[in-house]
Amino acid sequence: MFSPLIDDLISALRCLPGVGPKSAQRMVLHLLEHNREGAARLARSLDKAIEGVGRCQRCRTLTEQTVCGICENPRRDGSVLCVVETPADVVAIEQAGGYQGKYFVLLGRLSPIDGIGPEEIGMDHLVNQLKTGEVNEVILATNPTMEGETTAFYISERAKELGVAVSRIAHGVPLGGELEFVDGGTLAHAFSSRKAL
Amino acid sequence: MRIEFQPAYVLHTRPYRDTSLLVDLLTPDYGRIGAVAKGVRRGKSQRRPLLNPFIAVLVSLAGKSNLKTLTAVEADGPSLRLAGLALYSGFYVNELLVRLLGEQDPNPDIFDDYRWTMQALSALDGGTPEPLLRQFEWRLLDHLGYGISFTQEADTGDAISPECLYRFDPEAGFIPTYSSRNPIETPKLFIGADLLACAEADFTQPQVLAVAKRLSRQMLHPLLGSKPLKSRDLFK
Repeated sequence: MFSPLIDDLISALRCLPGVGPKSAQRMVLHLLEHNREGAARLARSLDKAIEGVGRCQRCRTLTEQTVCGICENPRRDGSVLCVVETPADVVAIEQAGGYQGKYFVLLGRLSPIDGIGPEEIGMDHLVNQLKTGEVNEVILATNPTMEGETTAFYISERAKELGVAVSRIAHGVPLGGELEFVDGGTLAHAFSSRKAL
Repeated sequence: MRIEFQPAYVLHTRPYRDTSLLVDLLTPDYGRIGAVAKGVRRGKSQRRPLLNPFIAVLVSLAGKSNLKTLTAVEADGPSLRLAGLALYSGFYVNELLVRLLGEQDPNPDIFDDYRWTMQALSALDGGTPEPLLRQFEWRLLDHLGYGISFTQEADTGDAISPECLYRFDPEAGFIPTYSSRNPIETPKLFIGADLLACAEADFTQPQVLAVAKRLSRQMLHPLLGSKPLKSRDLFK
């Protein structure tokens, strides 16, 4: 329907999550009709980001620096290492506030059927970091899915071999929720890991 | 086709679109069946926690194509928790099923064995999961038509004798060999007594477990081809 360049742009935008043909078309028309300056800026930033952004050498999160801001920050406690599945989890924990340690991003979780084993989630890298002796405690903040639990168990075994203390984030009833609507698995877990007051 | 309240276990899930999930289910009446669970990855979905492996659920599915739409899911009985090695074992069993079972090939016996194995794994409490895994593998192969007799010789059908040495052929079974050499020097051979212990699922002697593992590997090898099971990496 459109000329080749426009068609091309529409199909390119569809690589974004949640963008179908209709919204891609709307975006393209908007950019070309009303906001060419914005479009140019978008093109430049995309180009630069793709060129520049890589992985942090220490925690594997996304950054254009060799070592990311959190890993480099001298005020953060390097003796505590929080292991998460994705860079989005780092952002979530940072936004929640309160955590002052550093991170390690697995970029996935153990899932044998998908072909993701210990090697694919950077276990060698993590084990090497633990071997330096800087880390006293590993906090496992993988998702509370079965794959996340397996990943947590696997890492805990490796960490214990190296004499590093391991803890798992608590799972339970969401704040402000109602017990009646909480699923059985979560409720059972909340009971088995209850806290003395 | 509508499927109502079918008992099921989730074998595997994969993210689909923004908020949905593709689930691979094991059911008694429809075998392995795939379904889309729409919108379950949205923040407060009640269904997401149930769509995890090793949880007994009842599912309702609809749709004409091979890939169904999940219309309802609820817990079937109290939830079991697998932990540690049992968790690895659970993923191993799931990978085995995903690799070996075709889609929508009903087999209630496999489902019953699976359920029994999951319950036994959750009650393991630190023990070795190996006997459970071996028994599951052998029964699965039996149900798939690749079963092998541990009590009878391949061609003759004679009873396996405890003192005799046997060579294993994945297509036929156990063939007696009259090699007088020590089995430690001929690691490919099996002693009759160990095979009979396997048949009885008597794993009290440690060498029987090792024999059983070697046997399972050899039995599974032709079916799995050159791509090994990834979950074996976890046990290393």
